[in-house]
Amino acid sequence: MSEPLIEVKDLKVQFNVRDGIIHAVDGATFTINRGQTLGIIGESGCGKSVTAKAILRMVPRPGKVTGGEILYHRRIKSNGSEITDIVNITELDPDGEEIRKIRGGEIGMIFQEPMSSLTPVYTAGSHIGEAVGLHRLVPIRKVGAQMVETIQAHRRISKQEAREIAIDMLRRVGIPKPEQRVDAYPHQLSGGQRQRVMIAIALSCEPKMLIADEPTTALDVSIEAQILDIMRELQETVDMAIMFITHNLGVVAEMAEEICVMYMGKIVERASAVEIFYEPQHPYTRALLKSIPHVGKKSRERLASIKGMVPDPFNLPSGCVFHPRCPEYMPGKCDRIVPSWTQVGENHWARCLLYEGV
Amino acid sequence: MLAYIARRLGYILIMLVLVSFVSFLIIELPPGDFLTQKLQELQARGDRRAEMRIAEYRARYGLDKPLLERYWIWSTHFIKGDFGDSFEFERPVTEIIGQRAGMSAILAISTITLTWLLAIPIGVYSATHQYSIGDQITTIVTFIGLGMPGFLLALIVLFFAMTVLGQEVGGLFSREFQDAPWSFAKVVDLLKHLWIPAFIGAVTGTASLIRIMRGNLLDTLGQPFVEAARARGLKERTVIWKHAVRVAINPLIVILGSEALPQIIAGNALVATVLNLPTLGPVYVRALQVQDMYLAGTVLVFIVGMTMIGNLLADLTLAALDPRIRLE
Amino acid sequence: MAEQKVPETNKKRQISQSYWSLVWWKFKKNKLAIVGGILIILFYSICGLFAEFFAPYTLDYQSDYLEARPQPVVFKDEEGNFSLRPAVYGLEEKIDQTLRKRFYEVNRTKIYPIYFFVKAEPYKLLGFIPTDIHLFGTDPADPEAHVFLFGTDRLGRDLFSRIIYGGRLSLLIGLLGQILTFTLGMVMGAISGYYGGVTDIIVQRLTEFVGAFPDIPLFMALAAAIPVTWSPILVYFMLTLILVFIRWGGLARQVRGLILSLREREYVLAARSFGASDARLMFRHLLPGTLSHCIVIATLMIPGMILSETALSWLGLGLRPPLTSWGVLLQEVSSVRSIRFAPWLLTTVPFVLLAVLSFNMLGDGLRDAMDPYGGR
Repeated sequence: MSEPLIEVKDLKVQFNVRDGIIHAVDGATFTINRGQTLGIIGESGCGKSVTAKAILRMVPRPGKVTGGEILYHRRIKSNGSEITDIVNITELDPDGEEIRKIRGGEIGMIFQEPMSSLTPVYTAGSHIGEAVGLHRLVPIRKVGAQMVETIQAHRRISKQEAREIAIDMLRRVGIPKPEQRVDAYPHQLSGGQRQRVMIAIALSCEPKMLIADEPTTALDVSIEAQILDIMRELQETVDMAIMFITHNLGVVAEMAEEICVMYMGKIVERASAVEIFYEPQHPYTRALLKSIPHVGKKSRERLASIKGMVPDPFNLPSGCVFHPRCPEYMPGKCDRIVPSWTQVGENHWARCLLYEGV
Repeated sequence: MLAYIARRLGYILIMLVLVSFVSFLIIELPPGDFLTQKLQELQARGDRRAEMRIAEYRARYGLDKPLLERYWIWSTHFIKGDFGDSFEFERPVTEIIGQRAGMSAILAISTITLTWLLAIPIGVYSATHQYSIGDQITTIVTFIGLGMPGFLLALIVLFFAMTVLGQEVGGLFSREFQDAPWSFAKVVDLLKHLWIPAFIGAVTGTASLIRIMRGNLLDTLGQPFVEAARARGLKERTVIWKHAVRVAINPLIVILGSEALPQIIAGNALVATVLNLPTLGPVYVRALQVQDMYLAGTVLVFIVGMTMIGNLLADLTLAALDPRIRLE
Repeated sequence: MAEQKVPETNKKRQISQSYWSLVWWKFKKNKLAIVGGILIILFYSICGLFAEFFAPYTLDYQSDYLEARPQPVVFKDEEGNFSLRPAVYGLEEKIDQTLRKRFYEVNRTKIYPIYFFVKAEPYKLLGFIPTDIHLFGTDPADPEAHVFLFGTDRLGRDLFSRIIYGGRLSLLIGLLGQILTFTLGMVMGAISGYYGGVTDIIVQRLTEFVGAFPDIPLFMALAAAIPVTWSPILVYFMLTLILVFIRWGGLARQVRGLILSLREREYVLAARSFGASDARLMFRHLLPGTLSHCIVIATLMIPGMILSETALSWLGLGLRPPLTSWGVLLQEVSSVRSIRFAPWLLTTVPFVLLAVLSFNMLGDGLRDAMDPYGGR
């Protein structure tokens, strides 16, 4: 099942602020396949959220997609057979009907703060009902003038059906007593429950992909484990791709099959999860992994950290953006030449001069 | 819930008693009373029996009795619905209020409707198009509106109407319709006159409401649930109105409640005075000025009572609209 | 692994800034707020500090031109030729037979040049520097020359000068009243919010009670209770105190709300755990947290005070002559008759508007700036 679902090609997103231009995403390229989980890790501010929002054409002002393209491989039934229609998301009108169909209906998104991501005055059930009423159509069979003919038509879901779907979804995400909780307001639910509701809302429209932007960052560890379990379970049952964004290495190790590492708007390494963790090639990835404290290992060493600070976006270092902090900095090279995307293994790519023959 | 309402109502009653007493005191505060002025008037006209006449009046109105006694008589009658007599008009207070209450209500309702019809859409537009030209212009216009004292605006409008339009704009009816029985034509006449005081009254209220709506909505738009709603594929219009505005408007409902009812009674009294409207406002201002004790006192009690009931209704409405609020 | 220094970050651009520098930076971006701030400084300088300098005439100077229209400004000299020096046309008295009224017409044959830094009525600059120089005026040697930029009132007094002097009182009441309200409101609100319990309930009920009264009767009664015999300065003070009395409840309630929310925050508990006293907690820790909100609220309340004073004086209940404020000036225009025959007397209105507008713009800008982390 490694058919591509979303292809991001050299995506560039800029923010035009008064003090200059911020290159929030600077040439990101990756592919998410059907049913696959892609993890995107990086520090705060490295551009991972912006990338995710770009896929839904939701980059907040004053940001703009200034380069590259995002291709969505949509499967549609035409004349009884399935074909793939490629939709160029970057060319869609951000307020148009096309993208609104995709948002929620074909690509769902869950956010970091479950409390503030639900509208406080509407119940869990009405959130799900709203989404379902918008995106899910029920096929109705009309018998035509000649009995043989049946016309395929669709109608919107009725209120009663929406409510039943809502209760069912809440049950599937593991909320106890869903018939009662369906009428609960967000402030009446715990953090973990709210995030489950968000997942339920997203999944109720049967999307092909779920973008999860730091979904467990605001939850405590035991709840986090439960949420991750649910996500994995549901993914298997509905064959949904997941784009999982986080800064937590432990979480991404658990969830992702393939991982992209981002730094200052650029993807600096991409490989399978196993290879990222056991054979990291980029110095940044290596430094990240080194900074994880190891439990149980007695050591006289201090905690490792990446020296220096994230650079000022208006005063980016020349050459490789990471060079001032890089433990393997090569003077004369890294501060002058911008590294390009190089293949360093089978399905393993990195952006580092160490692997370019310069 | 019922216990809460009962408690609030009880509290309101206590407050009303206190307020009525303090009102009496306050009205009494300036030296002399209603009759001192009348005495001067009569003496100026050369009425030699002025003092005797005044003494008669005094006895009739009970103004020779001490304050506490007067208050006691008045408040005991008040509960029975007898609000006393007006000195100036020499008629029962009930009659005077009754005549004008209807007009006051119509004016208040028109003003409030106009205010809200204008303010909400403009406020929403201002917030969703922040810093645009439209927003900047709205900002400046609202600031001017906030700063313009109602009575001044009324004066200026009168001036323009008279010199530029050559129209008489005082009052709520043209002369022919003043005492005529109700008819369709009379209603039309009323509407023709009504829009000016409604508009003037709406200016300050609209300006203030626009600022508040804009501010609240801006705060709300920054919250994650708005973006989450957008990410579910809802139309922008739905995201703004069904989700953001729906949350942002709650505090405004409270304002509506606490201001709408008292406005029915007092309205913008100064504006009404300038425009000579047959509402309660001018009568009330005048009563205060000449110390027409019972009239002023009654109207005051009503205003305060309406304010507090309005607050209660507003709080109840807010609780109904916002599930996060719990009444203590 | 090569050991190397982290290259120098560009020192010109500071990455992290203190709260107040962030506030200032955000405030600067708001052009309306800057304009508002500048206007307020201008108002208080011109009307407050240097009124005598800017006003060509004194407050009470009565000329022979009663209810005269404003004189048009032209750029001519006495012979009627073009000149860089501004001048005004003179006025000629006429009688309107039908209305039986005196009025003034512009007389283009009489041209009075305007001189700058002229010597006129002596005064004390800033209260103690004796001088007699005014910003502009007509030739002091010419007894007939006069410059009434905004016309005159019933008693022949120059409106331009009176607006400047009037502004002094109106703006000062606004400011002084606000400072008093601010202090009283903050202290009461802090005590109420901090101690809670019985103190809170009492203060709450008190503010509610006063707040339940509609403004006008309260104002009217209290203002009317001021004996006419008191000296004007005393009246002025009492009026300010009355305004304060009515307004502080609102501010106190806001402060109370803020304190309530801050009281349970961790930093307060931390301070208390190392033995900080109640007073210290209140003044050193809690109130500064409310400061940004309070500044905004206070700034936005000043226009309200100015308008209240205007309304009161217009009703004849506030300041009375010889004290002159904008409200008093408007009192003289309170009938349709005056608007019809002397509409220039309404020139006071745009100044009131402008002052209120400036405070609102400033307050709004402060509010946006005080929350530098939020918004776009």
